[in-house]
Amino acid sequence: MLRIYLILILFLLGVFGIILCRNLIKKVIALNIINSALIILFIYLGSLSGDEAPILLDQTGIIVDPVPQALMLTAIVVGICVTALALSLVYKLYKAYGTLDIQEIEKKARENA
Amino acid sequence: MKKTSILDVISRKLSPFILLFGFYLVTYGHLSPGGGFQGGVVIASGIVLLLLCQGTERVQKLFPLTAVSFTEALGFFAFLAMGFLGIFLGSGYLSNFLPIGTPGEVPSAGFILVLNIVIGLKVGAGITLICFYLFKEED
Amino acid sequence: MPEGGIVLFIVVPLAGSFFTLLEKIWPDRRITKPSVLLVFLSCLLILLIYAKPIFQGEEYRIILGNWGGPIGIAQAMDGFAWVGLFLVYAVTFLALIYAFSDKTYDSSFYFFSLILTSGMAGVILAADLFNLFVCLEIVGISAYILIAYAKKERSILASFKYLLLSSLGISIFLLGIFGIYRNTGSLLFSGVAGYFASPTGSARETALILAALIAGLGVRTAFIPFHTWLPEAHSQAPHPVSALLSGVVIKVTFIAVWRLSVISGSLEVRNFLLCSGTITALVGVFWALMQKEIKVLLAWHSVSQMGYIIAGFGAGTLLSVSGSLFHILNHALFKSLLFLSLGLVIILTNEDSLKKIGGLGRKYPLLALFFTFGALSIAGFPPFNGFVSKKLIMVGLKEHPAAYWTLWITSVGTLASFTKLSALFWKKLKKQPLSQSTPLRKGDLQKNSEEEVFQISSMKKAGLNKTAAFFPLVVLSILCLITGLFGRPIFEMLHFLIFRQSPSGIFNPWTMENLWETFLVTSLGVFSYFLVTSRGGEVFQSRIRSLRLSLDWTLVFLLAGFISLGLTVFLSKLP
Repeated sequence: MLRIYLILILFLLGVFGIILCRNLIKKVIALNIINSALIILFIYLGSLSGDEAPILLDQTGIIVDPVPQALMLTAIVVGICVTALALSLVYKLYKAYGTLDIQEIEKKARENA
Repeated sequence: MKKTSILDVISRKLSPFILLFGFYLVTYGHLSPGGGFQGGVVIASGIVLLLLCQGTERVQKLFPLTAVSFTEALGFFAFLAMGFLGIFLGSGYLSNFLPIGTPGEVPSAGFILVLNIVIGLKVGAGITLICFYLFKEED
Repeated sequence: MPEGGIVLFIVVPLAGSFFTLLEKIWPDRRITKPSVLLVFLSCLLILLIYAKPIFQGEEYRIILGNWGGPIGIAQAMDGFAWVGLFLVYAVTFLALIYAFSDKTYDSSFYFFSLILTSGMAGVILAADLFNLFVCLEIVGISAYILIAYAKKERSILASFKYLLLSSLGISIFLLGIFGIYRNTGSLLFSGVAGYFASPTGSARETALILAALIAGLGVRTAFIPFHTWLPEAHSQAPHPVSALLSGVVIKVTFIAVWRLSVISGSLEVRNFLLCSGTITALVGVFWALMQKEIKVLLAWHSVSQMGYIIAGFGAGTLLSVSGSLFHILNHALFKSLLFLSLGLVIILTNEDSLKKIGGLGRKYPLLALFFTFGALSIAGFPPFNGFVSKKLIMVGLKEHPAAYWTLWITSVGTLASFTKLSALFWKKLKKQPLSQSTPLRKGDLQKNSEEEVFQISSMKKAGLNKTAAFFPLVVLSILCLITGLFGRPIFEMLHFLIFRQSPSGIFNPWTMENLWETFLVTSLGVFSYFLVTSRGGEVFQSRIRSLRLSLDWTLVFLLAGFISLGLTVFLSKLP
């Protein structure tokens, strides 16, 4: 139970990071922390039911649950794609507005509109 | 700041082993931890190491942009083709139609090996392309 | 009918997108446009082949890859999914034909549109939670890229905001999936239904899981308080992409919310959706009335009409739920018509603010006609489709008088803001003295100061292909008229598809009472228009326009919405 609370604290760290950080790259890093927390949560849940890696070589070991691992592979891939896209958008925003601070960018966008 | 020769030497010595390790992860994906996506990312990281240390022009002579794009598109199409082959030869999209050999050897578990190789190539090419475009300096 | 064929709805657009990729390698062969046409025509053909058994009540379920049991990838198609798929393919096809007319959309635009289509088909057909998650992310990533395709600064900022909010929402959805897998070990929708029917966890846990699932999807659907990304994202996107986003992408996510609400069988979620929907409708139309940019006004109307749809679903009566599905269909048709026709206006005059354009009715009579079709449909005028579906929802809401009167006021507001928008076509611009106008080119200084200060060009000068631009507008206008005239048979068919039974009474929208109500709404709307555009009204408008939420506050709104939904479900399960 303590471990699930620790993982939830990691998740909350990411959420607070996304809201409170002003730098755009820190927001993207916080999004990655949220993704990592979820991935660890799922794999921890799967690992509770066994001892060994989920590859059946001689049918005698008690393997962990392979389903969350498969699900989380997909989630990792999706997370990487979203991070890559977010970073390229941040780069374009930096070239357009000259700063990485979200409040200054919004102020400049409001003045231009 | 002048670049020392450490980066040059280490990257040239190290990246072939990284690429080899990536291929190992891809082909032994059904026997030990690893698989298509993981191996593909390691392959891409080998190429990105070269990119960071050698510069874009030298690496693009070795891995030209059109060849990498073509590999990615080909990987995409090969995956779809394997799925459709599943419809024709087996029972439904993406069903396993190759023979399942003895567990523990490399050519076993049906077509998971083939899919791993296809995905490894596609992901490696894809992430390399992402890094090529992100590192390109626009004038 | 082969069951495995429903996989083709997802796979055919994917295969087509491969062909558009080929054009990047061989740029001389024109592969993109024929392959797009081929993909959509074949998808519509397969949909027609499945139409007959579906309308007789059959359902199709398959599990991909032969991994049966609780962990397989399941897809299911029933009548409700058929309507959704028809919407996706028809509207996307028409928006892409509109994009054919403009040469600035290259092959990568069509690549992402085809991937968006295949992702949307995946969301509609998904019958297990993880498949839903993957297809939602595919839709999301394609949408972020398509919004940022315009390469203007504001569109990149809008895309980034959408990305952050949407990723946070999907993370919350993953939390919900975690809860379900922990308690049942199954990810199929049938497993979810079993869990909510007899929950094995505590009441707090069930409430949290349900709130996580619905709130995670709610970000994409944009009801209050998750709507904050929508006005910017839909207004700054390129024109066919705006039509796609407003027309189909938010509907497809709402279809997923619909399925999950029905499966969980929770009354509290429905009540929350009813309250949230009515507030969304009112707030949306209020903010829409205050805008001076054309596309931002239309985007706020998307929020407001989604409020109608969500309130109709939340009310739960047979009439309002079928009315809600009918309004999904209608809104996709008339909203894309509005976005596409006004997009042409924006391209041709090179301005996007209401204050700077006027009197276009004489120069572009055809565009004025298409806009009128769209505006009359959304305002709920008799022969068009908005009339039937809005009346259905309002009649179904008669037992909730607060919701009924809020939606009534919303209709008044809708009419007022569309009168304001139609001023583009009939109102003459106030002649501005030269010193106050926007900077003119050098040659204009010699012109008379009474001259109009914006440019009007013809379609050929703007580089647009006339047939490709007008064909979708014509088709959408005809569809709006047809679905309005045949409203009753379509309503009965939708009722049968959702509830497996024909409607009990006869619903006739053409009563004297309804027509009198429409007349009342119209006169009040025109009166409100004159009120809002008076001198004091303009000051009020600019005050409201200056209240904007920063990105951090939108994220806080999202979390507040998730927590409030969780509290609502939890507190109602207590006794």
